[in-house]
Amino acid sequence: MLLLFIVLPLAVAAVMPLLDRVSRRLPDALASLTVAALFAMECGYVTLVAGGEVVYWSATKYGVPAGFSLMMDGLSLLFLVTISLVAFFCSIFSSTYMAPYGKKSTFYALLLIMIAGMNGLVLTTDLFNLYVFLEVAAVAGYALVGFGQQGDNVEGAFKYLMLSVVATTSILLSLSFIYFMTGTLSLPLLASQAGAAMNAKLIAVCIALFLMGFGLKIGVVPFHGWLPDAYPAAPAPISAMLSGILGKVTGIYALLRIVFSVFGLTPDISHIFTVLGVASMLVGALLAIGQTDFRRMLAYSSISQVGYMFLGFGTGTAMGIAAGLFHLFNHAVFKSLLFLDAGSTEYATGIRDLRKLGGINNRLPITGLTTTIGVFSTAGVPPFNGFWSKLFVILALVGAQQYFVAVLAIGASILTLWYFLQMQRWAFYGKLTAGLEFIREVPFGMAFATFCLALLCLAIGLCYPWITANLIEPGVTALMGAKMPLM
Amino acid sequence: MNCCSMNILLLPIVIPLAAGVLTLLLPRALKGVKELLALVATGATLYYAWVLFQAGEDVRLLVPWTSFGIDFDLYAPHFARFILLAAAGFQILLTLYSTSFMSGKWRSKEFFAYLLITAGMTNGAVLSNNFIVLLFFWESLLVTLYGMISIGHKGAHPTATKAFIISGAADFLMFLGILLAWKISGTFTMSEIHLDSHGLGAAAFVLMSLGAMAKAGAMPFHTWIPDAALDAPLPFMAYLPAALEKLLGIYMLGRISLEFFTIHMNSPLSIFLMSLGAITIVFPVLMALVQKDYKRLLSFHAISQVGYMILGIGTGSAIGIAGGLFHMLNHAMYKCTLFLSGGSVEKQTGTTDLSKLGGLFKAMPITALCFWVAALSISGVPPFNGFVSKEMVFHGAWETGHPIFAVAAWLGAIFTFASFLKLGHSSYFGKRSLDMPTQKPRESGLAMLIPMLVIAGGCILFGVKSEIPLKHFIEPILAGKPVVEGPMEFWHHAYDINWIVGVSMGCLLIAFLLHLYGFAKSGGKAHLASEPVHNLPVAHKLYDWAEADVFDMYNWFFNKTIRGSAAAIYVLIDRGIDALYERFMIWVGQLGIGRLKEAHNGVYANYLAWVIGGFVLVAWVLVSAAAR
Amino acid sequence: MDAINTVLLVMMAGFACLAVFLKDLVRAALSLAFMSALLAVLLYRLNSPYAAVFELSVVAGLITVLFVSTIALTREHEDTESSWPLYVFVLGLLLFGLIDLAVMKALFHNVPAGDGNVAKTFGDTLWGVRALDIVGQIAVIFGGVFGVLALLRDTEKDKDLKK
Repeated sequence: MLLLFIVLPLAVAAVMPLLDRVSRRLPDALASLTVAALFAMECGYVTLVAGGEVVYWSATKYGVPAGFSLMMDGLSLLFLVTISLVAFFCSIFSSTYMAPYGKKSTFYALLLIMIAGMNGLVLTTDLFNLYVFLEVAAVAGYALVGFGQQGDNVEGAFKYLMLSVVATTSILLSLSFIYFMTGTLSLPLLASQAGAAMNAKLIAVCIALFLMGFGLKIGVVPFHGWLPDAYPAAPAPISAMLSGILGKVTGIYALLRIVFSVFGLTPDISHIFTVLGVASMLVGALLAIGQTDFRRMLAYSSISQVGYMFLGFGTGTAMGIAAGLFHLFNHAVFKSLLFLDAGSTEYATGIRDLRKLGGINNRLPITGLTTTIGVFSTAGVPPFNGFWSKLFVILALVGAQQYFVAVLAIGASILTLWYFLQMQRWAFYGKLTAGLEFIREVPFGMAFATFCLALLCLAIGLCYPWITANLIEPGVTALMGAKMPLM
Repeated sequence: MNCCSMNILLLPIVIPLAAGVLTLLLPRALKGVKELLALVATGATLYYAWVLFQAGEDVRLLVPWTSFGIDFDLYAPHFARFILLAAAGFQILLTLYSTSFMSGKWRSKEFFAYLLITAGMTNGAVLSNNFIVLLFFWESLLVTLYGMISIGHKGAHPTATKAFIISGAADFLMFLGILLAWKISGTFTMSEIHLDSHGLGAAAFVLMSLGAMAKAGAMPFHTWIPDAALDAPLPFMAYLPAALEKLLGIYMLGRISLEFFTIHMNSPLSIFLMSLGAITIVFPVLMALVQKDYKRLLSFHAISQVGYMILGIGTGSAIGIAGGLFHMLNHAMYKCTLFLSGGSVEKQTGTTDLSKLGGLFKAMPITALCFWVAALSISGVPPFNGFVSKEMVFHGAWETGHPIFAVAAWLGAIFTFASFLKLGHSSYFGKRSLDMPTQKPRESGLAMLIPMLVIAGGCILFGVKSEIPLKHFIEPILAGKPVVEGPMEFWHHAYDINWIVGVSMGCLLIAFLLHLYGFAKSGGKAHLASEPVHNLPVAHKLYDWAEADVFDMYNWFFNKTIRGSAAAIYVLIDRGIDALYERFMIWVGQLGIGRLKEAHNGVYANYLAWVIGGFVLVAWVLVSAAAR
Repeated sequence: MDAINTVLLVMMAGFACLAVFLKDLVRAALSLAFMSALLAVLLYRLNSPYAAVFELSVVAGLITVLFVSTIALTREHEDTESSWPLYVFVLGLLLFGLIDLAVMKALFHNVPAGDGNVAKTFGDTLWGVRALDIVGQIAVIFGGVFGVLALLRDTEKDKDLKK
């Protein structure tokens, strides 16, 4: 029942304001439970989809007189699982973290609408539907970024809105061109008539428009300007959602879907992916070195990590795409962990400037430990999950004869280690800053969320063959058609 | 391949790992359980390592893992079985020692967990037969390295970070080398890789061997070790830099230069290895000579001795390689004992500062005895084990026809002996110092003495009966390798009198005279016996710079603590190009980052301009491609 | 007819640029609202009244009201930044316009029109094909409403003042 993935969170969101009156804790519990239910449903599909099955849901089949259908293949499922996984821990984290903001029911309603939007986006088979759900997630996103109501929160949200409008305009324009050329926006139909009756130059413009629009959503250099302002402005769990999944789902999923099933990955698109990837990886990492705001540093780090994914996709080989998707999945876990840890640090100390912190590791042992794990994971240190996906990206690059890019990727991961260790030295180690003697470890809900995510980093690292076999490779198969030779 | 042999390959990895994780989960209140658990786990590991060693045939475990040729592949040729056995032996002895040394220390629970996890990861790295699996275990050691140093005391994090960064950088070299080797050979399976050492192969060899040597602690990847000697818990020093990392690094270097590639005598790669070995022998030993702290002095020797192993392997002659490998085993034994004696002294007297020690022989006779056996071994005095392996390396170095390398090795021998005379003299003989924190030191307990006695006994055994290890451990490694010409009967010549032994003995005599001269000159203060060398006109300045970390690449790059004209002169004369490159890189980097940051000024129009610029570029590329 | 549309388009572009240029966030948001309103008029003139209504209600209405009021409530600091990016932007825009003029006309010149404009009633299209969009639109409106609720709720400061 694929429609449930969209309707369930929406329905829960609709009743949220009523629940607030009943009990203060009810919205917390219901939001987390809803996401957990979505996750459980997705888990039920894993073996089926990994077996090569594609699940369809058609409205007419169920007596609804409407001709639309939903489809779940390996790629959709990978993204669905990623969304619920991150959203679940963010929602648990929010139950304590968002308390000082007030109006938690509204917060959860927006969060659930965002999830509904993303779920709809990955399940739909129609490009215009995709655009509409993109807007759903984005509208909820603007409100959530500005949820803190302070000047810089709203400014971040406004910048996000302004550049997103540019993005959606270009996507819409491109869609209209495609409709103009083919008369349909249905993905299966488009895939079947790819190349027919299309003007090569106009297609090129369409791809460029898509790259700009989705590139803005992803935050890949040079389309990343809004990102370092928006991520730190949002409440910490929302930063985690934005960096971990929203940008990736609305950007990378849509881009991959369209490029692979409508146009096919030509060498030119490959090259552009690689160039954008290298630029993002290096610019993001270099800028992160200079940051003193924890979450701003993480925002730049996200740009840098997106670069790795693009490098993987840019190779065009099955191994490269598997590497990119795996890195996306891992990035969702470890980057949301780090954003939540940044939130915990702020919550406990009230300070965001890393240089004003110091020696808090002994006061906040769980936050310190989980941050270290997140850092190791991002930098690609085994046995944590980031190691495998970075390794695969580099292997894929070498396999595709892009030696220079591979060396750059290794160099960038040293830069990653550098800025993170610098962050740890400033904030977590050394002498305890005066005035922080009485800070205490964050409450259970927050510590639980970060601890589970850290454990997940380790577990994925240790059981990675299971993840690649059941989640990643079906995704690659969905994109590349039949099982391809892997090198 | 039956079920039983399959399990046996997994056990030395899984048992310590599981015990390590279990230790972390143990409640703090349970006293003695973690020690018992660690002992049982390492004991079981040793047992299975022994069974595996006896198994004789080449056992293998292959589990298909992911596509792309990445499989979970374990394989134990003779070399790996031997290293595994040696590593397992050190693991249980160090665990036994730590049960006493770490009792009541800060965060000792974590220490035992890291100790066990390190054991599992090391065993995994030794047994793995797929480069990706190797990388996984190899780089996982970084995490426990970081953890073990950082629990030394509350301010140990900078040292842990330094060790992490340096080892991490070295691991990346290794990774690059592996990538190249994969590209050339098309497989990750280690036992299938036999490459030419020309062109890309040479690059792969250099990168991989640098990674392996860095793990063993060779220059220029050594600078974290002396710092860790002061900051990390002492058993860590005996465990990783002295024993396991040497075994692992030299094991990998051995496989790289014997199996994946073949080193020919006097080929460029052989000269490369020998030069690095010679440099690693000479410079750290000079640093060791002037140290005034027990542990720090030992740590410089832990670097210097690696040079002998690399030099030996680099000679490309059968006797040199066998000597290098034998020296690896010997070194792990005597250096372990030396560090353990240092720990014993630290535990009983409360200090490792040589000026505060003295006359401990009466109070701690067994510790002193073990120390002297190990000290004479490391100095190459017959009939201890170090003598045999060093003579083999001297022979190998002389055979290459480049006397400079043999001379470097002898020079190292002089200063090694001199510095150990100074260390032993100032801490165990002479008058009891009045500055010692504990005025009535006693002998350490059995748990600390047994490991020292066992290993010191081994030092004597392997010296007197050197045919046992040579025949059973070393020769099968070389059997069938192209470097071997004729029968391998090294032990027949171990005690032959020839002029090379004469020169070695002469070196020892010089060292002894040097010590007596320094001792007399400094007015009977043994810890100042090296001052004559320290105060030589040029040497003094160099030593000052070395102490100020001028030679420390890490500080150059990451902390930028270099200042003053002395450094500038050094930069221009000695390492001009290198340093210029690094400075230039930092300058360019800062310039670039500054520009980038300026561009990110929060102005919306600015961001939009990039977006449009990016779009125009992308569209231009795609449209022009479509027009073609 | 065409002339009026062109004028509307140019005005739209002008307001869009203003929204980018103005450093004062309130004015920028207002220009955005004007732009949306003009777009709605344009859509109406191009025989798409439903699209116009959506545009007016969602973008011009909800979102701008949201931002203007929140920004007005929370104005804090004035920015003093270098102005060189503005020139870069103008240059970039001009360049883009020129390329656009040069390229797009040529592109559309010989493209066969698709068969998208099949005659169907609005209701058919809406309920038969685009039903999922309705779900999406509902979600967008939900999002807007909750966004207003979230951004215009009493801040903690206000609550303290009330006490």
